[in-house]
Amino acid sequence: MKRTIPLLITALSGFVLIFAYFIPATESWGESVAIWFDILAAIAYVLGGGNLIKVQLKKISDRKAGWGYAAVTLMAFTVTLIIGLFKVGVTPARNQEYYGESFAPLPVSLLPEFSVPGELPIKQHPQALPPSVRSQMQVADGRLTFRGWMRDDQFDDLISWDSRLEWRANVEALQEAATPPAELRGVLAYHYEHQSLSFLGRMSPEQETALRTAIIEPGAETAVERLRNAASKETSAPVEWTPPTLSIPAGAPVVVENDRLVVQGPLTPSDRKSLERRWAGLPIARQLLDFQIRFWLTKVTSNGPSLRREQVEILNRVLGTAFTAEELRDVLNTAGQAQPTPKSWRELLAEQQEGIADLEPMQPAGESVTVSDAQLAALERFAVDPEFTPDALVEALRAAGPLTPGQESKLRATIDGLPTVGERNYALALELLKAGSLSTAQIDVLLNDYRNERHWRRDVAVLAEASHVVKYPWSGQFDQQGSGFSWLYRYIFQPLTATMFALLAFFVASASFRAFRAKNLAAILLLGTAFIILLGRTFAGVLLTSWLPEELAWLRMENLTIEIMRVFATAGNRAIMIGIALGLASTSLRVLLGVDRSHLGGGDD
Amino acid sequence: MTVAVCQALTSLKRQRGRPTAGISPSLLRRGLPFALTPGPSPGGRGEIGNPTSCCTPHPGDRGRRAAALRTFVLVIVVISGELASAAPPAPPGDVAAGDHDGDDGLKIDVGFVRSQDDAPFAATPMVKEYLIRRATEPDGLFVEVRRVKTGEADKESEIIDAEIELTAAERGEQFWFRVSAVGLDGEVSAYVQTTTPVASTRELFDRARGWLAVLMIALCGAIVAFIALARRGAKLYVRPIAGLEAVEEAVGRATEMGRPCLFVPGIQDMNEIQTIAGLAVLSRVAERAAEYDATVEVPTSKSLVMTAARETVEAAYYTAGRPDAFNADRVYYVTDEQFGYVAYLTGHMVREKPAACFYMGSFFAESLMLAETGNSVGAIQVAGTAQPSQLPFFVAACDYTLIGEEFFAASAYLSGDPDQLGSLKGQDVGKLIVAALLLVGCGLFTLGTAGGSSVAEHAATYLKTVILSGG
Repeated sequence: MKRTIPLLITALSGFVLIFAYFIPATESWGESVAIWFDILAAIAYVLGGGNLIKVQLKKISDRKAGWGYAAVTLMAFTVTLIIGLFKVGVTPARNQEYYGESFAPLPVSLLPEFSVPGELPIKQHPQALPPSVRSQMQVADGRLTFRGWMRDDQFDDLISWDSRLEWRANVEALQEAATPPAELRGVLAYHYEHQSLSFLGRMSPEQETALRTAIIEPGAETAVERLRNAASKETSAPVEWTPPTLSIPAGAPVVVENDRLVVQGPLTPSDRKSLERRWAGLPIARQLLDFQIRFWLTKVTSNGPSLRREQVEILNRVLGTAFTAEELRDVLNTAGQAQPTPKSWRELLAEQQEGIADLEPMQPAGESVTVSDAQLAALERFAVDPEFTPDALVEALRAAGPLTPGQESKLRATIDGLPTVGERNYALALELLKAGSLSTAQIDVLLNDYRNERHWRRDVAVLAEASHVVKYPWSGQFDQQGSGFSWLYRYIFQPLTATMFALLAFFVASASFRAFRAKNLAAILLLGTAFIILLGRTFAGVLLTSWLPEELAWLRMENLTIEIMRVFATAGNRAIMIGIALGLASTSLRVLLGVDRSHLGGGDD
Repeated sequence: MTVAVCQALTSLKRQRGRPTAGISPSLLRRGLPFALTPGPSPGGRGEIGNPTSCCTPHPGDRGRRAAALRTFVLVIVVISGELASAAPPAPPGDVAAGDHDGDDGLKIDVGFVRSQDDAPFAATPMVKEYLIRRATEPDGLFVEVRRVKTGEADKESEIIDAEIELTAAERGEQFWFRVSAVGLDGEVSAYVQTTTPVASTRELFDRARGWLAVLMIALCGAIVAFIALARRGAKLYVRPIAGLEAVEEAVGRATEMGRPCLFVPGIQDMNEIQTIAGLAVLSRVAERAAEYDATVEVPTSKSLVMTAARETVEAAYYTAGRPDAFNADRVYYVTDEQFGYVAYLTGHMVREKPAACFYMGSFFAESLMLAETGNSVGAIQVAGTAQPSQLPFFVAACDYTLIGEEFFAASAYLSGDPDQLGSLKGQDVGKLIVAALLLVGCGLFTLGTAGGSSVAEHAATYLKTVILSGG
């Protein structure tokens, strides 16, 4: 009985895996069987660990020869287990956290309900609604009902669930109905995965009023209150250096008070990005004129030894090169190109009902908007005038011609990506150091701006982390870069493994010395072949036979090597592999049929 | 009008025709629904007048008129050329769609007749590719699913067949298909559409793997047949294998020297057949060791292998009648890491100096390290693996090596059980099948390439791409 059950399980699992390969409907059975093996192997890890501890402790207690190694083994095992299991030094995974969002638990039943007429389309095979909407959506009595506000991913899941136009039009209508009020659009969301309401950033009094109006179910006040408190909580962080051009717009959740950055609610990623760059007003690196370049050259050389000729050329090149007005014009023209816009699903449904045969999902593109001469002049001024801020540029562009919202956002994104003066000077310092040397004072002159900018970004990052409420503290990978486990792996395990692997070279040498002896014909052939192969893979071998004419090129070492590997070695390899494959099949069948039970312990049962 | 104008006009006149021969026989055989349902043409292609009315030259005032006419002709030709290049090609002929046979329900076949502006109908093909779209409603939004370039299909064939892949969620759903021809400049023709929907079905058997099933049944059938034959008492000869004969000798040597035996079952887990084969050999080695009162140590690299090996050794000791001699601590787990495991083993070998070392299982880079260390401590070494890349190292450094199928035959060989020996004979039938396929394949390819026989070439291609490719 003790061996019968394992035999039965073996036979059943084995035959399931075999049949699953040929019967499409059972393909997933094979995967399930493989998963069961993984589960067993995982459980066996506990047994293995326990056995390791037991054996090593016994060695230590018995003071057997080599008990010191046992102690080291146990210590390493324990340390690695603790560091790996408790994820020492591991930060939450960035792609799992909800930066800038505050949460409050709220069951689905307390959410407002939105409903539109509609039916589920009839499918050939019954298919449940997408998992993302199951807890919030119902279809009954000719109506589609959704509790809470529909997220974009839920909308996409519903749209892709069925491709019929009537269904998609109804889903679109439902999405329109299940949209938060205007004040809360883009900031309020419901997460069905953990049944909680979330709010992005700081909650203003108007938004709080809108939220209380939107959720009126009794029992929801606690959640709203909790959300309000979390979205209004003040967090501060010290700031070492404040940009003199800092200009935080009114209404932003961040202020600077008494050398501290203070934020209300969690700092959203977009606010963080704006604070780091746009609101800070960090000077953009522009193309410098000759006298300005000379000024920099004087400034650098007055703080240390003269620069070498190559360094002066580098300085001229880096400081004389920057973005141009034409590049910004191209950005605006590209963004202003009219693109076809998709029709709504209801429009397509209406066209279908009108009898239009070939439905076109996109509306024709409108007119493109290109940069006018007056706008180009504004761009040209921006390219050279450090006093001309990006906000002033946008105002000037609007005044000089049409500027679409798409063009504006693309322009701002481009400007935000331009290197700052600090970043340019940092790159300049690196290039100057590659071409020659710089004194400490010269480096300070070049890096001063960059250091300040780094401090500012660091302080903003500290504020963002401090204001963030961690949702999944254990979500990081145990071997995350910088964690304790990765340190152990990189600085202890990898060198030891490489050491052991390196020993292989010496073992190969000693084995070759013993094996390649011309004792008989077979050994001579082996020695000769090894000689050709070894030489053929070196430059010496290629040189030895390079004098052979083209007609005898096949006798050259490198070609002989290739031919021996390609023909003889491959043939032998394939013969062995054929035998292995057949032996494998035969052994597997013997094990499945229970003919060979020696791996379970021989004998009758 | 001049002759040149007439010729220009004549060359621009196009035949507007449709395939009147009906549906191709292959589509008819499949009994698939089809229709010719041309959609609205995005742009017409009209005839440009009757050339016979303009071919009589007029006398008089030829100088001025000739120049004006030449200009007029040039303009006409240029404008006509522009119209010709902007006009979409003729739509495809009939279209048919049906479920792909013998698959998992994830393919639908769409076949259509080429456009009249495509080869082989047109001398100068004007079609670059065909656009296939599908929808779940006959009048719904049709979405592109595939583009078939004209070069992908046989130029001599009037029909193009395309496979449309589906996702698991789309299996069984009904689809309508539309096919349009796309001109050289990207203009899309009118479409033709299927009139009835097509749904894919999941077949019971994956026919793409049919040949593999046949070969598998042949091999397994032979093995089972010889097992049955052996049970009836037939005498089966198995050639002596030196490595397996040496197992007893090695254990005996260890007993005489008073040193332990070391058994290494490889570094892979129980889901690897080599590990199972290794444990089968362990059973025999442990039984001998129990009989001779020798100790056998089994350090393992996987926890699951440790538990299985412990059971194996314990049962072996029971079979040998020495249950009291079994010590579970001699079968233990070391580490999963490859080089950590081999570091332990080599250190253990240097300290304990086993008299016999058995390496039976799946090995990688550590094979030579183990074998060389065993050699340096003076142990007799028997190795067996099915890793072709490690066999040379074992052959060079060990006293006996079981190569590939010898390793898998070890358990049957050592047991002497007629059932198991029968399976070895069945394995030989498999070798005969392989040898036959080799000879047939080499012969066909030789005849096909050197002899120029197209039949042999086709047969060889069928053998290679269908039979031997896993289906």
